[in-house]
Amino acid sequence: MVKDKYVWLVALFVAGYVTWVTVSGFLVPATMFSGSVHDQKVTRMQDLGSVESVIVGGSNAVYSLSAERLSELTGETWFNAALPKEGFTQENMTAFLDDFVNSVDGEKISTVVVSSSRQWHAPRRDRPAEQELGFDGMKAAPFWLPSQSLWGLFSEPPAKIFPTMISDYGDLIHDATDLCEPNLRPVATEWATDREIDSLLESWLPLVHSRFPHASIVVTIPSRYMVEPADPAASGEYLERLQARIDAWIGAHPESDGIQVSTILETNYDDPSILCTSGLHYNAAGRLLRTDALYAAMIEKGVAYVG
Amino acid sequence: MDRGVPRLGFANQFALVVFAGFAMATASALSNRSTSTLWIDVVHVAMPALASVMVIGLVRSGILPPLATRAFAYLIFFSVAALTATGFMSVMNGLAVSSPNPFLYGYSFYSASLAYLVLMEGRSASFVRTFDIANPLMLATGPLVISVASMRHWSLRGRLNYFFPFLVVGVFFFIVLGLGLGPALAIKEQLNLVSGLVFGFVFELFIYVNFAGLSLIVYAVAGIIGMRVPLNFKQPFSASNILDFWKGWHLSLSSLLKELFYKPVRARWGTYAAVMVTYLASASWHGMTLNFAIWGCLHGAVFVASIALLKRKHTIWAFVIFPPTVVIARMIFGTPSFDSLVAIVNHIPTRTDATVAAHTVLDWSTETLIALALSIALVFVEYACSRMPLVRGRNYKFLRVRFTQVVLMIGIIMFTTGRIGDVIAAYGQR
Repeated sequence: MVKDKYVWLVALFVAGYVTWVTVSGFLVPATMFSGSVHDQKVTRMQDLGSVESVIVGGSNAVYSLSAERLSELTGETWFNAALPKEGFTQENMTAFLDDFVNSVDGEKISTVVVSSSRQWHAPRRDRPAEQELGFDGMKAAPFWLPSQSLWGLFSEPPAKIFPTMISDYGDLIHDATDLCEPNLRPVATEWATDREIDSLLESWLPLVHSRFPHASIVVTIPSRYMVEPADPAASGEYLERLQARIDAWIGAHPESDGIQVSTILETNYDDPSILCTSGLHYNAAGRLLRTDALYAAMIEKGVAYVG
Repeated sequence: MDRGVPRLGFANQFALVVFAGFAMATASALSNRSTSTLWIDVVHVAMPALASVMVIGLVRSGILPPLATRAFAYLIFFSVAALTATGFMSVMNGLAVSSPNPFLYGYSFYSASLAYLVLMEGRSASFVRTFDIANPLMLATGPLVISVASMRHWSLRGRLNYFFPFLVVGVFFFIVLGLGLGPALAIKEQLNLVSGLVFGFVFELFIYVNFAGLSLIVYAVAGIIGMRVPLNFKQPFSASNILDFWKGWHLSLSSLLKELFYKPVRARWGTYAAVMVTYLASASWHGMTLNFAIWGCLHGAVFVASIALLKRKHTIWAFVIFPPTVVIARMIFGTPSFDSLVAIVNHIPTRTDATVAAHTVLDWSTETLIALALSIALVFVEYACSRMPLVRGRNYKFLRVRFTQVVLMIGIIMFTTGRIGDVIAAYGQR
């Protein structure tokens, strides 16, 4: 009789554990901004119609580039597929773009803007290759373990549930939540090393070219808030070095034959009123400024046309 | 005995484990979108089986005379040391979580089991042993396969009733305590003696709950599907000296080392020499590094000293040297290199080191601190209650009674999270 009770206890435990593992997966992603941005972009992607151009990259593009504004300016439909921290890992970004090309025809994409802050040197900025991080930057739980502990759910402050903050174009809706807490610190100014540029190109060029084979790729050096203007000679030298590394990469990858990659050095600003959370994360006014300037630069380069 | 219940033979058990392993690997690969790595799982299963068949075939063929067969056994055992010395295999310091070379996956485990088999059974070694020596369940987790028996006389209900509580204990150790303690091991980066000792202490707890947890899971799963494997851990901290401690720690390796080294050396040169040789052989099996050699010498010396103290009835002194030895030896064991070890020892402890170490501990997540507190409580109960009926048998009975089973089950559901620590077999896979 006692043993039969134990069988029921085991059954109850297994049922409770499986239920909690299943439920916990739905509770965690909404608690972190980056995870929530990913989840909401995936939802928007599922409702997409025809898309012709895409923005990819990191949080600078999430905050400070507008697919909606580029759609107005170019007459094409753009989607902002950038993710905070570029999805944290290459595997995540790959999975995310795979989700994207399941929703749209990747062969019809004509322009892809790659906007990454990895163009500036930062110690330990390399993307974690071995770590299995989720889209919120936390370690991804194996499927058989809960995404958070039940104890954590009760003992920590209530999870923040983000409102709808991603528009139909994939843009961040700045005033949907109290996102902006201006931080006036200027961002890093030391340019990326050759090794860091190669790492950046290796992350993006094969990924973008394989998913959007006919797209013209624009590697843009994001606009920054800077108190002191950047040294134009150093900026020019970096732009040349970036282009040289791109040419070397294309030369070393015969399979990328036909790939078109151009570079743009964006305008920096010294007006703190355009900032949202950092020198690379602009508010709505700053995003409009940056997007318009990027469009003008693309026109100048011949990679975009007046709509 | 229920003769109506169909029984599983070794081959079927092996096939069941392999099938379950592939099913889990496939599910994991599909969920991670990395199906291209599935071939590695095939290699992981095929290589140990192939090596076992070849070795058993060679000794059964009778080509090797008895002396050469014995030498062959030791050659197999020390091949791990040679592979670590030449860099083909990583060392086993409890932090190398996977084999960098898929063709050498689990080699240190099945080679040790094969060495034992060749030495103990020689020409009479059966090919059937391939099924347990190459058993992926064992190779992935760490217990050595020195004796596996079929449990033909137990009904499935009987096996479930007896072994499932071990599974609950193992899961609690492995995922609640082990995953929780994992992030705390980062303190090893602070190369000073204070943090080093904290690391040694936490790392000892981590290795215990991780390896004992996995061993208990293997013991339970193997038992449920009809294989009786030895219990690899028997409440090692229900000990009052280092001799008692080793009677409960990684018993499959201890039993193997006893036959390969301790008994033959003791017969010729006495107990003290046998102890030292055994620990040095164990050190070489973990890896050919100075750290392991020092670890082996320290444990061997304290073991010898404890024998001498116990002979003179100085049980208190044998107890006094036991906990510091375990912690210091584990610090040496887990320190990544000899240079790091020298840096730790040469750094004179300061108040700042202590403050930094204390702040580091206080900064650990709630889950980690809970896991640390529960692990300390476990060790305390094992030691302090070692004469109580439920603890005296050293088979985790105090954790298998219904009340503690309910507590452990609630604990698993309350504290398990897959987002801290790494799901690793600290002692497995190499």
